Amino acid sequence: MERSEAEKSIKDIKKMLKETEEEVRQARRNCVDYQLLWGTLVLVGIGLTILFLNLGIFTWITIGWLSLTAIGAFFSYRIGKKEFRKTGIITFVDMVIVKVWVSISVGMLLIVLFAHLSPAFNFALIPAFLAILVGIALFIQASLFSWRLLFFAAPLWWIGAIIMVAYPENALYFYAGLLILTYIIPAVLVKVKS
Amino acid sequence: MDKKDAEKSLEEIKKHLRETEEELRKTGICAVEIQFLWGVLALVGLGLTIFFHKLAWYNLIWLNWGCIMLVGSFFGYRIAKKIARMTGITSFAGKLIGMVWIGITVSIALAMFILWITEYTHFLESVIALFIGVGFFVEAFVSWRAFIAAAILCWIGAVIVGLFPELVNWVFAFLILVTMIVPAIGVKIRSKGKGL
Repeated sequence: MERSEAEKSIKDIKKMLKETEEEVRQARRNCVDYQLLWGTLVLVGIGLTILFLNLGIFTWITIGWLSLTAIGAFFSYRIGKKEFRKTGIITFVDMVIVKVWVSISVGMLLIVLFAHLSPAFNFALIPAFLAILVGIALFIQASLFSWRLLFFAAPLWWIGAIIMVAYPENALYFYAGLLILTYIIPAVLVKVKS
Repeated sequence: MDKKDAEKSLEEIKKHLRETEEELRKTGICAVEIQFLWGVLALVGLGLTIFFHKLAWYNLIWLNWGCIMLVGSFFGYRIAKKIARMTGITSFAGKLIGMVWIGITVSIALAMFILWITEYTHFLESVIALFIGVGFFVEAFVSWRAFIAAAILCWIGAVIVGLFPELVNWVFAFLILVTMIVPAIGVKIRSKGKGL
């Protein structure tokens, strides 16, 4: 291989690496939009749950969460479509993130289903198990993006799960606190920086 | 860029793609060995659980699963290290699969702890199947699409076990065989046939 050819190859490799880095950065930015959307919706959901619990209208809790999930799914689809129109590609990282959150959502639905179907299940355990699932997703996401801030987030959710079991009466407040601290604030920080 | 240059570049791209495919295949086979290990260990653990249950040695059930997790983690780490030495690379897919299963293992341990302290241990098997389903679903996208079926089976199993706790041992034995041991043996035989 001649020197000029080698230089050209190195240049090509550098360009590819830069493009991949940019792709991952873009995926992280896209993720931040979803994070803000779902973070806000879940916060609203927690607020409504606390309100309905205080008013004693338990059926509305399920209706509230179903409505928020539908709104979240609709706007997630819109964000995805907008991003796809802008870039014209769906990267591997994007796809993995989607799969991770789809599987975590199935897990969350099953936990809620157990709680409703099995009379022996303790409703107070729901937030703790949902927190464990969110921890898994953030752990995978952190490794995908090599995002140090998120590496701290996953253990926080797992420790939070134990605290939620220890203090079930305050579980929803802990959940909201974790959501703001590890989900919404990092998303806002990335948004402001970008 | 002249024709010769373009052909050379295309050849290089093809080589890169072939290498990436090979890398993914090796990662898949590595994951399969670890899967086989955990499948066998889980079957042994299930057998011992039934045995200890019959003898009413309930404390030994927790000890049994604790030992199985330790043994599995130790040998899983050894296999992963051996494969990394053999291939000389830690691929992105391999790293991702590793992270997924570390996350799932931590979550299972945490769920065991939570259900134990709250005395809701009869939901443990459902929760374990549910978490393993999450792991398979994500892994399916990175290594082997057939794992989607394994994920769905695990989730169905989780619901069945949650609703009919008396079927727990049968459902779990079936899930371990169908989603862990049989696919691992299948992939191993196929990869040996191809001389990998």
